Amino acid sequence: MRMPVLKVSQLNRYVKSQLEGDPRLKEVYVAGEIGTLTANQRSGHLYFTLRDDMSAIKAVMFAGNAMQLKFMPQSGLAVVARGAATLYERDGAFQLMVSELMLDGAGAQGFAFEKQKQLLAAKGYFDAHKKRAIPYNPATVGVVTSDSGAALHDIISVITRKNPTVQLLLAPAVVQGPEAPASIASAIAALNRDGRSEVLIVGRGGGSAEDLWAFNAEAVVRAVAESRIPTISAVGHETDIALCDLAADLRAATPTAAAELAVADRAQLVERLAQRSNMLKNAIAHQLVLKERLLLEKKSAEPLKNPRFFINKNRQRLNNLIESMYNLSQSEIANRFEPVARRAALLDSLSPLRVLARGYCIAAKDGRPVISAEDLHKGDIITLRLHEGGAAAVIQSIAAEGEKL
Amino acid sequence: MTFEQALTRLDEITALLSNGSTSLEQSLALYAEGASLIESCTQQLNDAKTKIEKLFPEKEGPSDAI
Repeated sequence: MRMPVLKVSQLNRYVKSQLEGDPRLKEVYVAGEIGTLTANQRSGHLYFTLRDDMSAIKAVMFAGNAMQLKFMPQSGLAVVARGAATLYERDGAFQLMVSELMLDGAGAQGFAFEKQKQLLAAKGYFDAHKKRAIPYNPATVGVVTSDSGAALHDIISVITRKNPTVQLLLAPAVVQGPEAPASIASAIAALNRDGRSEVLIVGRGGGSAEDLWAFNAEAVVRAVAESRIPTISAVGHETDIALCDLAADLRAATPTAAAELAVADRAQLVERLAQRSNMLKNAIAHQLVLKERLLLEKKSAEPLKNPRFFINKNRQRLNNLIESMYNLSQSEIANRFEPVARRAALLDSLSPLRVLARGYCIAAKDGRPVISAEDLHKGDIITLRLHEGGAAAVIQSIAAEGEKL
Repeated sequence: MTFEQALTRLDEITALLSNGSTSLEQSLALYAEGASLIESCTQQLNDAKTKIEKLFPEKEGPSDAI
């Protein structure tokens, strides 16, 4: 039986699809030395070979990725390439399509760093939504670093200068070497247990990549990510990035910068306090003005403004009452007096004095009425009471009963 | 009470006084409270001297002031 005969292009396409179908070849890190290298001036693509002491592979890095390079690749450099193994169909050439190129040494570190980063990212330690805000003015700051390092000295001096109201809680840790990760993690845990710190600074001063390696360890990254207290990470110098930085709520370039970020400036606090003090004074002053205005309003209400108004009003009422009582009593009196008046009139009509009106008069001697002529003597003086007025008379002659004068 | 807590309380007091719904007695009591908060915060700022305390994560023992 004869095997089917393939065209070259069929074979190449098949091998290419086989390569590209293998997930392990989609992303590989390959360490080697750069052999021949050409840069296409027009397109910006890089073509080179990567080799070790036994083998070589063709590699291509397209312009988009090549532009991201932080160094000039050149023949003889030890590098780590990240990329996909594939086949260039036209030439049947097995090649590495490089997306990232790192210098080895740093390259090997970078490779391990990348791997660790992916591993820890997958565990959610770097999730952006877990980041918390750093409090503006913490009263207590926890510090995890070596208690003999320059970092601690820098942190203390910045905080003492910037805001001496802050209390520092130091949790010393071993920051390099094999015990470092556990030591740093347990210091972070201790500060969390203590609970007084409102923010933590975790870090150390500059050093070699190996010195800083503890801050990439999972124990440290987990401790930082799981800290209930917001954490500022400050590892090494400006250019050093540790996984601890990615897990922290805030990354500071250096321990000094971390201290600057952690605490508020005392001068600003003084100013804020002064502002509050003014606001409070204004508020109470405003409040007092309001109350005073309210009082004035009440005072200017009619009864308080003119108290006589009420007195006069009531006096008027009283007068009216008195008058009506008086009127009432007058008519009452009149009513009561009416029968008396009637009797008085009757009595009056019977009075002997009434007779005088008809021309009679009453003669009296020594204040007693003269009833009989016998009581009189010639020359006696008698008084005469007339209807109107009276007179005195001298008796000239007397006539007895039945006699003529 | 921390400095920040004191400022938060001061803001509350100022807001209460500003909206004018408190009685005169309440207003004066609030003002007195605010004034004493300002006093203690000022003291806090003036008397400040960084306190440093050491925790020993290895031993679960008491901490040392240095």
